[in-house]
Order: sequence, then structure tokens, then C-alpha cells
Amino acid sequence: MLTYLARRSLLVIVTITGVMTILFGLQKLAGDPTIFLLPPEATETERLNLLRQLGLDRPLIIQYISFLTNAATGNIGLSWKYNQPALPIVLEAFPATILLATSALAFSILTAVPLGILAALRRDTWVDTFASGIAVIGQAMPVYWSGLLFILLFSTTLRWLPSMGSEGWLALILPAITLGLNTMARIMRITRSSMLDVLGQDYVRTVRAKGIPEYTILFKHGLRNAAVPIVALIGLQLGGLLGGAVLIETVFSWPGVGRLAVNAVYSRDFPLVQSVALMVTITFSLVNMFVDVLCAMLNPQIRLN
Amino acid sequence: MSKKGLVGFGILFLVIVAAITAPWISPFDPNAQDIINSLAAPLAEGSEGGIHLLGTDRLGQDVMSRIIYGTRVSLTVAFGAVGVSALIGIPLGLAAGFMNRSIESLVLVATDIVLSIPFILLALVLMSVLGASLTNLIIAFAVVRWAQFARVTYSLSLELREKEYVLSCKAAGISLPRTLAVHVLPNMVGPLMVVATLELAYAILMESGLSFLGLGAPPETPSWGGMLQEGRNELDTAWWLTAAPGIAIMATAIGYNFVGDWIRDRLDPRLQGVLR
Repeated sequence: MLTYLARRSLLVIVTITGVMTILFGLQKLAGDPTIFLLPPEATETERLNLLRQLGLDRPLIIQYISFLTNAATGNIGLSWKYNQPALPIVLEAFPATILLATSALAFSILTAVPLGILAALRRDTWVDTFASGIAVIGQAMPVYWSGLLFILLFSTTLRWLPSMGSEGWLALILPAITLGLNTMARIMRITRSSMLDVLGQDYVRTVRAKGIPEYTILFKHGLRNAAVPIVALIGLQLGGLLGGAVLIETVFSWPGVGRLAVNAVYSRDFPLVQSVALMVTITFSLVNMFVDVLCAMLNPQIRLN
Repeated sequence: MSKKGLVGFGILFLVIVAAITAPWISPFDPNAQDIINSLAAPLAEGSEGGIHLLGTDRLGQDVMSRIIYGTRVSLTVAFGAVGVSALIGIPLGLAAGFMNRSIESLVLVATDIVLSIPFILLALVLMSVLGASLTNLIIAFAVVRWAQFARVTYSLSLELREKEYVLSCKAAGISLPRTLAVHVLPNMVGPLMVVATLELAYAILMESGLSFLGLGAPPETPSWGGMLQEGRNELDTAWWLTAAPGIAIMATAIGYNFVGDWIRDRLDPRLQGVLR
């Protein structure tokens, strides 16, 4: 288990370094930032001064190394737009995104797992059809579109829920459900097929023949064995949720890192974009590591591979 | 063919026919502005005759015609993006599966890195750097999604490289490229087609998402995502501007998903685990 953990942690570090390298490359690809940062009438001296100030007059390899070493100490540099350290700006907006993503995840797990189990138990009945209908639509709807439809229905027409901002719990409901729809569809599909798979196994037939109560079979023998693929999928979904937040936060004006990133991209504020990408990648990598370890604990076979 | 398969192929057939015949079947020129008829409701009559089946937008452009022309962007981007991703990802996945250990771990780590950045964020940055165009949409997609093809190709390779017929190729001294092209790849076509259909659905959702953020198709090209973005400002007054392109995107995505499900069920139901 310890070697597994060590190997998995190393992978996280390599991944994050790789992501930083991509982000550095993108910044270089974007070309000379002084074109966006200075007014058009700026003189050549002003331009060179700014380049030196940003440390962009040094050789590429030096820039790259100092970018990496600074990032390792949590220093991504100053946001070009706000002219203050970029990472704290991101950290300030991060809880809002985490709140949104975890609420969305909670919503999707709490609806998808029961519905998936029910669909597996009542296979080929209307429940199953209903569940797969939701799964098909949930996976095919563009997330921001379902957001717009919800706003149209619940905010504009019925006036039940606010359509923007983050004041109070009511404001969380629409964005969280919108963001969770796609994940819910995926979790439901995997829960259904995983449960069907497990319930068809010989050992389930055996415990049933022993006269064990049906709910014990379902939860102790069924769900527990069906859990590994479900847990693995939930971990992978977090990346999708954090990405979806970019769109959802824009639709609902939610003050998280997604909206921050979109605005930073518009104003070509690279340090800010890099900080958001870094934070999101670290979160995603750590959660995935946690999920992998959890799966290894649930199923000893994984550890040996 | 199953009901699902029929529906899926039916939708895709309609989309492809609409894209090819757009100039003939569109009731209006998609870019013709009719300011007097700005934000006309569905079934309204045009000022120079004709019926706006799905209404008009702020500039008085016919929504139906723009939806029909939008199929072109949707198909070009989806097939272009997925095609390029497959062309990069499949060879890399094969290399990881059949060449030495260092190439294997190099490719696997690269896929891990690329897939751990939220795709939309990376695509957003790329689009802002490269500029909004259909070619750049394809590039932005392929830069990340090759990894999905590489990953699946690799996991299929793990299984195939132990097969007797592959081992006997090696024993018979047949070169690796030939073995891969003649004996390995044909046995991967089915599962890879399933991945491709799922990626097609993903590509059109992403295209519309990026267009929605103003960093997808160029503004003068009628695209579904772009239409949604314009419609957002008129959400309270002109619901059809939001409803029509959204339904088009969703229906097309369902079409790709159904075709993928159909191929998968035809191949082998046990593949469900690998091809999520």
C-alpha cells in the first residue's frame, strides 16, 4: 500500500509539472504581452521597461525555470489586470467554485445512485425507461443551455429562484442542479449497469437461496461490490464538474474561479489564467489520487497491478 | 437494427442532408437582415414574403435558416476535430502498447497530464491565443482529445499483444508496422468507432460551449453556439432564440450517442467497462 501511495504521489507531481509546462508554453505562444498591457501610444522604452519588470527579457530557459520554482512556492506572479499577486485572487474565489462543484456532485450522487439501483431492480419497466430517458437527455444537453432553460422557467416565469449571484442558499440551487445534470446521467448509467452485473453473480444467487432478506442482499452484497466502478467514475467526474463550472458560473454570474478564468482570458491576463488552471489541476489530481487509493482499499486486486 | 440505432442514424442522416442541401432548403439567406422584423415570433411572416418558421433574431435574421446552415459548422468541427484526434492518438496508443517501456510510460504520463487540465479551460486559452476560427476549434480539440484515443488504443493493445496471432507474427519475422496495420488495427476498429462517436458528441457540445463564450466559430458564421450566445440577451422576450439552437445541439448529440451505443451493443456488451 505504501509503495502504491508513493508511486501515485509521484504521478501527481509529474502531472502538475507537466501542466505548468503547457501553461508556460501557452503564454509564450500568446506572444508579447506588452501589446495588450500598454496603451498604443507607449514608447519603445516604456515597452522594454515593462518587459524587464515582468522578467520577460531573460532567456527562455531561465524564464521557464524561474516560473516553475516560483510556482512551487505558490508565486505565479502579479495579475496583469489587477496588478496584485494572482494566486490570492484565485484562492479567494476558489471556495465559491468548490461549494458549487460539491453541491452539484452531492445532487448528482443523491439522485443518480438510488435511481440507478431502482432501474436495475425494475429492469425493463417504466422506471428503467424513465431513468434511461433522463440519462440520454442529461448527457446530450449542453450544460449552459439547461442553465438558460432553468432560468427561463424558475426565475423569469415562476419567479421561485434567483437567476444570478451567490446570496443565500436559494441562489445555489439552480447552478448546482444545472452543473450536476450531466454527472448525474453518467453516474446513473454506471450504477445501473454495475448493479445489474453484480446482481447476476452466482454469490448473489447463493445468498438469496440462503433466505437472506432482500435489502441485506441489495446493500451488503450488491451495492458494496458494485461500488468500485461507481466511485472511480465519480472521481473522474470532478474534472468535468470543475470544467463545467467555467460555463455555469458565466451563465449564473457565480463568483467563482470559472468566471474569473473566462474574464482573465478575455483580458489576456495570463498569470491569473495560469493560477486558475493550476489550482483546478491540483484539486483534480489530488481528488483522483484519493479516489484511486479508495478504490485500492475497496478492491485489493487493484493494488497488485 | 435496434430502435435506438435507427433513431441515431436517422438524426445524423438529417443533419448531413441539411448541411449539404442548405442553400436549397433554407427559406431565407441566413445572413439576410430584416430590421423591421427584428425578434419576430415563430411563424411570423417576413416583410418580403415567406414565413419565419422559428422566428427571427435581433437583426431580423431567419432562425430556421441559421439552424440549417449551423449544421455545416457542427459537422465540420466535429468530424475534423475527432479525425485529427484519432490520427494523433491511435498511433501513439499503439506505440505505447507495442514498443518499449520508456515510450509506454512517456505516452501514458502525457495522456494523464493532458486529461487532468479541465478541457474547456485549456481550449478557452488556446482559442484566445489562436483566434476564433473553425480550424482553430479543431486544433484546440485535438490538442487535448488525442489522449482519449491514445488511452483506449493502449488498453486494447494490452489485450491484443498477448494474442497468439500477434505473437506468431513476431515469430514469423513480420515487421512491427505491418503486424500493427494488418493484424492489430482491424481488430480495434469497432471499439475505436464507439470512442469516435462519443467524441463527436463531446466535440459539438464543446464547440457550442466555446462559441457561447464568444471564442468559437467566428461571429459571421451561423453556428448553434453563437446563436445561443446571442439569444441569452433576449432570454426574457424571445425564448425561441434559446430553444431552437439548444434543441439542435441536443438532438445531434443524442444522434451520435445512439449510434455509438448501437455499435457497442453490436460488438460486445462486455466492452461497456472499457468504453465508458
